[in-house]
Amino acid sequence: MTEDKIEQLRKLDWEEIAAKVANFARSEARNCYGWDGSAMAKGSSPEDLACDSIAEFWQDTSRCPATCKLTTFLCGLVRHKLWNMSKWKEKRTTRREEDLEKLGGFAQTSSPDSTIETKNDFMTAITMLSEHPSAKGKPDHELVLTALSCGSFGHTELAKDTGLPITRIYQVQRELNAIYPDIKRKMLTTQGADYDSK
Amino acid sequence: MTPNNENLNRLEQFLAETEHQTKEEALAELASQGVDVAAFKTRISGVVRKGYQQQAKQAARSARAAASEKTNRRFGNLFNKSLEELLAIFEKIQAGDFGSGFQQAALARCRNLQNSPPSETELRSWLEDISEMDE
Repeated sequence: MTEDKIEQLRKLDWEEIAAKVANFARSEARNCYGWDGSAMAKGSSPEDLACDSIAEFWQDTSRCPATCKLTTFLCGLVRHKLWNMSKWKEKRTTRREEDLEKLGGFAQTSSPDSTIETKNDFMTAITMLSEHPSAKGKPDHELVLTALSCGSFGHTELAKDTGLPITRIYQVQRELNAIYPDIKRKMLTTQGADYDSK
Repeated sequence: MTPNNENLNRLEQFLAETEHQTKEEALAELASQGVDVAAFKTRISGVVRKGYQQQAKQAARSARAAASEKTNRRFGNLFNKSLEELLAIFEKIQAGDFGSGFQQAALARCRNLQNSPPSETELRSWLEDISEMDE
Protein backbone atom coordinates (compact mmCIF):
# COMPACT_ATOMS: atom_id res chain seq x y z
CA MET A 1 0.00 0.00 0.00
CA THR A 2 1.26 3.48 -0.84
CA GLU A 3 2.01 6.08 1.82
CA ASP A 4 -0.77 8.29 0.41
CA LYS A 5 -3.32 5.55 0.80
CA ILE A 6 -2.18 4.85 4.35
CA GLU A 7 -2.45 8.54 5.17
CA GLN A 8 -5.97 8.61 3.74
CA LEU A 9 -6.93 5.70 5.97
CA ARG A 10 -5.42 7.37 9.02
CA LYS A 11 -7.49 10.48 8.37
CA LEU A 12 -10.81 8.61 8.50
CA ASP A 13 -12.98 9.32 11.51
CA TRP A 14 -12.05 6.23 13.47
CA GLU A 15 -14.05 7.25 16.52
CA GLU A 16 -17.20 7.22 14.40
CA ILE A 17 -16.31 3.94 12.68
CA ALA A 18 -15.39 2.26 15.96
CA ALA A 19 -18.55 3.45 17.70
CA LYS A 20 -20.71 2.07 14.89
CA VAL A 21 -18.86 -1.24 14.93
CA ALA A 22 -19.11 -1.49 18.72
CA ASN A 23 -22.85 -0.77 18.60
CA PHE A 24 -23.20 -3.40 15.93
CA ALA A 25 -21.24 -5.88 18.09
CA ARG A 26 -23.52 -5.20 21.06
CA SER A 27 -26.70 -5.64 19.00
CA GLU A 28 -25.44 -8.70 17.17
CA ALA A 29 -24.33 -10.37 20.41
CA ARG A 30 -27.71 -9.68 22.01
CA ASN A 31 -29.88 -10.42 18.99
CA CYS A 32 -28.14 -13.48 17.61
CA TYR A 33 -26.51 -15.04 20.64
CA GLY A 34 -28.67 -13.94 23.55
CA TRP A 35 -25.82 -12.00 25.15
CA ASP A 36 -26.98 -10.73 28.52
CA GLY A 37 -24.49 -7.91 29.03
CA SER A 38 -22.02 -9.81 31.18
CA ALA A 39 -18.48 -10.72 30.15
CA MET A 40 -18.42 -12.83 27.01
CA ALA A 41 -16.37 -15.93 26.41
CA LYS A 42 -12.66 -15.36 27.06
CA GLY A 43 -13.65 -12.36 29.17
CA SER A 44 -14.07 -10.02 26.24
CA SER A 45 -16.64 -7.32 25.55
CA PRO A 46 -18.27 -6.05 22.33
CA GLU A 47 -15.90 -3.08 22.48
CA ASP A 48 -12.97 -5.51 22.54
CA LEU A 49 -14.34 -7.11 19.39
CA ALA A 50 -14.60 -3.72 17.69
CA CYS A 51 -11.02 -2.83 18.67
CA ASP A 52 -9.71 -6.24 17.62
CA SER A 53 -11.43 -5.96 14.24
CA ILE A 54 -9.91 -2.54 13.61
CA ALA A 55 -6.47 -3.80 14.64
CA GLU A 56 -6.92 -6.78 12.32
CA PHE A 57 -7.88 -4.47 9.46
CA TRP A 58 -4.73 -2.39 9.98
CA GLN A 59 -2.57 -5.50 9.94
CA ASP A 60 -3.69 -6.27 6.41
CA THR A 61 -5.70 -3.48 4.81
CA SER A 62 -5.90 -5.37 1.51
CA ARG A 63 -8.39 -7.79 3.04
CA CYS A 64 -11.12 -5.17 2.74
CA PRO A 65 -12.37 -5.26 -0.86
CA ALA A 66 -12.43 -1.88 -2.60
CA THR A 67 -16.14 -2.28 -3.25
CA CYS A 68 -16.98 -2.91 0.41
CA LYS A 69 -17.72 -0.15 2.91
CA LEU A 70 -15.16 -0.22 5.69
CA THR A 71 -17.81 -0.29 8.44
CA THR A 72 -19.57 -3.19 6.73
CA PHE A 73 -16.28 -5.06 6.44
CA LEU A 74 -15.47 -4.49 10.11
CA CYS A 75 -18.96 -5.58 11.15
CA GLY A 76 -18.37 -8.76 9.15
CA LEU A 77 -15.19 -9.39 11.14
CA VAL A 78 -17.12 -8.85 14.37
CA ARG A 79 -19.82 -11.28 13.24
CA HIS A 80 -17.13 -13.87 12.50
CA LYS A 81 -15.53 -13.38 15.91
CA LEU A 82 -18.87 -13.74 17.67
CA TRP A 83 -19.51 -16.94 15.80
CA ASN A 84 -16.09 -18.29 16.79
CA MET A 85 -16.68 -17.30 20.39
CA SER A 86 -20.00 -19.10 20.49
CA LYS A 87 -18.30 -22.21 19.09
CA TRP A 88 -15.49 -21.90 21.63
CA LYS A 89 -18.09 -21.58 24.37
CA GLU A 90 -19.93 -24.66 23.15
CA LYS A 91 -16.72 -26.72 23.21
CA ARG A 92 -15.87 -25.52 26.68
CA THR A 93 -19.36 -26.23 27.92
CA THR A 94 -19.25 -29.75 26.59
CA ARG A 95 -15.86 -30.36 28.18
CA ARG A 96 -16.56 -28.81 31.52
CA GLU A 97 -20.19 -28.32 32.33
CA GLU A 98 -19.32 -26.98 35.74
CA ASP A 99 -17.61 -23.97 34.15
CA LEU A 100 -20.81 -22.81 32.49
CA GLU A 101 -21.74 -20.25 35.08
CA LYS A 102 -18.23 -18.84 35.26
CA LEU A 103 -17.95 -18.32 31.50
CA GLY A 104 -21.25 -16.49 31.32
CA GLY A 105 -22.05 -14.11 28.55
CA PHE A 106 -23.94 -16.19 26.02
CA ALA A 107 -27.27 -17.82 26.60
CA GLN A 108 -27.04 -21.59 26.53
CA THR A 109 -28.86 -21.96 23.21
CA SER A 110 -26.59 -19.59 21.47
CA SER A 111 -25.57 -20.61 17.99
CA PRO A 112 -27.81 -19.70 15.05
CA ASP A 113 -27.92 -23.35 13.98
CA SER A 114 -29.22 -24.52 17.32
CA THR A 115 -32.18 -22.17 17.05
CA ILE A 116 -33.70 -24.44 14.41
CA GLU A 117 -34.91 -26.73 17.16
CA THR A 118 -36.64 -24.00 19.10
CA LYS A 119 -39.63 -21.82 18.36
CA ASN A 120 -37.06 -19.25 17.35
CA ASP A 121 -38.23 -18.49 13.86
CA PHE A 122 -38.77 -15.48 11.72
CA MET A 123 -42.55 -15.12 11.94
CA THR A 124 -42.44 -15.68 15.68
CA ALA A 125 -40.02 -12.79 15.95
CA ILE A 126 -42.22 -10.55 13.79
CA THR A 127 -45.34 -11.46 15.77
CA MET A 128 -43.66 -10.90 19.11
CA LEU A 129 -42.24 -7.57 17.94
CA SER A 130 -45.72 -6.49 16.76
CA GLU A 131 -47.27 -7.43 20.09
CA HIS A 132 -44.64 -5.81 22.26
CA PRO A 133 -46.08 -2.86 24.21
CA SER A 134 -43.42 -0.54 22.72
CA ALA A 135 -44.59 -1.33 19.17
CA LYS A 136 -48.23 -2.39 19.43
CA GLY A 137 -50.69 0.17 18.12
CA LYS A 138 -48.01 2.31 16.52
CA PRO A 139 -48.86 2.61 12.82
CA ASP A 140 -45.29 3.21 11.64
CA HIS A 141 -43.97 0.20 13.54
CA GLU A 142 -46.75 -1.97 12.17
CA LEU A 143 -46.02 -0.80 8.63
CA VAL A 144 -42.32 -1.56 8.98
CA LEU A 145 -42.96 -4.96 10.55
CA THR A 146 -45.42 -5.85 7.80
CA ALA A 147 -42.87 -4.90 5.15
CA LEU A 148 -40.18 -6.89 7.00
CA SER A 149 -42.48 -9.91 7.12
CA CYS A 150 -42.82 -9.62 3.33
CA GLY A 151 -39.05 -9.82 2.96
CA SER A 152 -37.99 -6.16 2.66
CA PHE A 153 -34.84 -5.82 4.73
CA GLY A 154 -33.12 -2.74 3.29
CA HIS A 155 -33.78 0.75 4.61
CA THR A 156 -34.43 2.18 1.14
CA GLU A 157 -36.67 -0.73 0.25
CA LEU A 158 -38.60 -0.31 3.49
CA ALA A 159 -39.01 3.43 2.91
CA LYS A 160 -40.40 2.69 -0.54
CA ASP A 161 -42.71 -0.08 0.65
CA THR A 162 -44.09 1.78 3.65
CA GLY A 163 -44.09 5.32 2.25
CA LEU A 164 -42.27 6.49 5.39
CA PRO A 165 -39.25 8.81 5.21
CA ILE A 166 -35.97 6.94 5.58
CA THR A 167 -35.14 8.88 8.76
CA ARG A 168 -38.33 7.47 10.28
CA ILE A 169 -37.30 3.97 9.20
CA TYR A 170 -34.02 4.47 11.10
CA GLN A 171 -35.94 5.56 14.21
CA VAL A 172 -38.29 2.58 14.05
CA GLN A 173 -35.31 0.27 13.49
CA ARG A 174 -33.61 1.64 16.61
CA GLU A 175 -36.78 1.22 18.69
CA LEU A 176 -37.33 -2.32 17.47
CA ASN A 177 -33.67 -3.15 18.09
CA ALA A 178 -34.03 -1.91 21.67
CA ILE A 179 -36.86 -4.36 22.41
CA TYR A 180 -35.53 -7.28 20.39
CA PRO A 181 -33.14 -8.72 23.04
CA ASP A 182 -36.12 -9.20 25.34
CA ILE A 183 -37.99 -11.00 22.57
CA LYS A 184 -34.95 -13.09 21.64
CA ARG A 185 -34.58 -14.23 25.23
CA LYS A 186 -38.22 -15.31 25.29
CA MET A 187 -37.82 -17.08 21.97
CA LEU A 188 -34.76 -18.96 23.18
CA THR A 189 -36.38 -20.04 26.40
CA THR A 190 -39.90 -20.72 25.14
CA GLN A 191 -40.00 -24.31 24.01
CA GLY A 192 -43.33 -25.31 22.54
CA ALA A 193 -44.89 -21.88 22.90
CA ASP A 194 -47.97 -21.22 20.86
CA TYR A 195 -46.58 -18.39 18.75
CA ASP A 196 -46.68 -20.55 15.65
CA SER A 197 -50.42 -20.79 15.83
CA LYS A 198 -50.85 -17.01 15.71
CA MET B 1 -29.87 -23.12 7.25
CA THR B 2 -33.58 -23.14 6.51
CA PRO B 3 -35.19 -20.22 4.62
CA ASN B 4 -37.05 -19.41 7.81
CA ASN B 5 -33.83 -18.99 9.75
CA GLU B 6 -32.26 -17.14 6.87
CA ASN B 7 -35.03 -14.55 7.16
CA LEU B 8 -34.53 -14.42 10.92
CA ASN B 9 -30.84 -13.74 10.35
CA ARG B 10 -31.70 -11.00 7.88
CA LEU B 11 -34.12 -9.46 10.37
CA GLU B 12 -31.47 -9.54 13.08
CA GLN B 13 -28.91 -8.02 10.75
CA PHE B 14 -31.36 -5.28 9.80
CA LEU B 15 -32.00 -4.50 13.46
CA ALA B 16 -28.28 -4.47 14.32
CA GLU B 17 -27.25 -2.33 11.35
CA THR B 18 -25.49 0.90 12.40
CA GLU B 19 -24.16 2.29 9.12
CA HIS B 20 -26.71 5.12 9.04
CA GLN B 21 -25.86 6.41 12.52
CA THR B 22 -24.14 9.76 12.84
CA LYS B 23 -21.01 9.90 14.97
CA GLU B 24 -22.92 11.64 17.75
CA GLU B 25 -25.70 9.05 17.68
CA ALA B 26 -23.25 6.16 17.68
CA LEU B 27 -21.26 7.55 20.62
CA ALA B 28 -24.44 8.48 22.52
CA GLU B 29 -25.76 4.94 22.09
CA LEU B 30 -22.56 3.49 23.50
CA ALA B 31 -22.68 5.90 26.43
CA SER B 32 -26.32 5.03 27.10
CA GLN B 33 -25.28 1.41 27.47
CA GLY B 34 -22.73 2.22 30.11
CA VAL B 35 -19.63 2.18 27.93
CA ASP B 36 -16.83 4.53 29.04
CA VAL B 37 -16.75 6.45 25.76
CA ALA B 38 -13.67 8.51 26.62
CA ALA B 39 -11.67 5.37 27.40
CA PHE B 40 -12.99 3.70 24.25
CA LYS B 41 -11.91 6.67 22.11
CA THR B 42 -8.43 6.60 23.66
CA ARG B 43 -8.17 2.88 23.01
CA ILE B 44 -9.25 3.23 19.38
CA SER B 45 -6.82 6.06 18.86
CA GLY B 46 -4.03 3.77 20.13
CA VAL B 47 -5.10 0.90 17.88
CA VAL B 48 -5.18 3.16 14.81
CA ARG B 49 -1.86 4.82 15.67
CA LYS B 50 -0.15 1.46 16.06
CA GLY B 51 -1.67 0.12 12.85
CA TYR B 52 -0.74 3.26 10.95
CA GLN B 53 2.86 3.12 12.18
CA GLN B 54 3.20 -0.50 11.12
CA GLN B 55 1.74 0.20 7.69
CA ALA B 56 3.88 3.33 7.23
CA LYS B 57 7.04 1.38 8.12
CA GLN B 58 6.07 -1.35 5.70
CA ALA B 59 5.35 1.19 2.94
CA ALA B 60 8.74 2.84 3.53
CA ARG B 61 10.46 -0.55 3.37
CA SER B 62 8.64 -1.34 0.13
CA ALA B 63 9.59 2.05 -1.33
CA ARG B 64 13.24 1.53 -0.39
CA ALA B 65 13.21 -1.95 -1.88
CA ALA B 66 11.64 -0.63 -5.09
CA ALA B 67 14.21 2.18 -5.32
CA SER B 68 17.03 -0.27 -4.71
CA GLU B 69 15.68 -2.56 -7.40
CA LYS B 70 15.48 0.34 -9.83
CA THR B 71 19.10 1.28 -9.03
CA ASN B 72 20.23 -2.30 -9.49
CA ARG B 73 18.44 -2.57 -12.81
CA ARG B 74 20.20 0.55 -14.10
CA PHE B 75 23.69 0.41 -12.64
CA GLY B 76 23.93 -3.02 -10.97
CA ASN B 77 24.35 -3.41 -7.23
CA LEU B 78 26.21 -0.25 -6.22
CA PHE B 79 27.04 -1.58 -2.77
CA ASN B 80 29.30 -4.29 -4.23
CA LYS B 81 31.23 -1.93 -6.49
CA SER B 82 34.66 -0.44 -5.84
CA LEU B 83 35.50 3.24 -6.34
CA GLU B 84 37.02 2.43 -9.73
CA GLU B 85 33.89 0.67 -10.86
CA LEU B 86 31.72 3.52 -9.62
CA LEU B 87 33.92 6.03 -11.48
CA ALA B 88 33.62 3.90 -14.64
CA ILE B 89 29.82 4.14 -14.39
CA PHE B 90 30.11 7.88 -13.81
CA GLU B 91 32.23 8.24 -16.95
CA LYS B 92 29.70 6.26 -18.97
CA ILE B 93 26.99 8.58 -17.73
CA GLN B 94 29.12 11.59 -18.73
CA ALA B 95 29.60 10.07 -22.16
CA GLY B 96 25.83 9.82 -22.59
CA ASP B 97 25.60 6.00 -22.46
CA PHE B 98 22.55 6.22 -20.17
CA GLY B 99 20.80 9.01 -22.08
CA SER B 100 20.98 12.79 -22.20
CA GLY B 101 19.09 13.32 -18.94
CA PHE B 102 21.71 11.44 -16.98
CA GLN B 103 24.47 13.09 -18.98
CA GLN B 104 23.21 16.56 -18.00
CA ALA B 105 23.03 15.49 -14.36
CA ALA B 106 26.61 14.21 -14.53
CA LEU B 107 27.86 17.44 -16.10
CA ALA B 108 26.14 19.46 -13.40
CA ARG B 109 27.74 17.20 -10.81
CA CYS B 110 31.18 17.81 -12.33
CA ARG B 111 30.68 21.58 -12.11
CA ASN B 112 29.74 21.25 -8.44
CA LEU B 113 32.79 19.18 -7.62
CA GLN B 114 35.15 22.12 -8.37
CA ASN B 115 38.06 19.84 -9.31
CA SER B 116 37.96 17.75 -6.13
CA PRO B 117 37.20 14.09 -6.89
CA PRO B 118 34.19 12.63 -5.10
CA SER B 119 34.67 10.08 -2.36
CA GLU B 120 33.40 6.54 -2.88
CA THR B 121 30.46 7.17 -0.48
CA GLU B 122 29.50 10.43 -2.21
CA LEU B 123 29.66 8.85 -5.62
CA ARG B 124 27.59 5.83 -4.57
CA SER B 125 25.00 8.08 -2.93
CA TRP B 126 24.82 10.32 -6.00
CA LEU B 127 24.39 7.33 -8.32
CA GLU B 128 21.60 6.04 -6.09
CA ASP B 129 19.86 9.38 -6.21
CA ILE B 130 20.00 9.80 -9.96
CA SER B 131 19.03 6.18 -10.58
CA GLU B 132 15.50 7.16 -9.51
CA MET B 133 15.43 9.84 -12.20
CA ASP B 134 13.37 9.22 -15.31
CA GLU B 135 15.36 9.19 -18.53
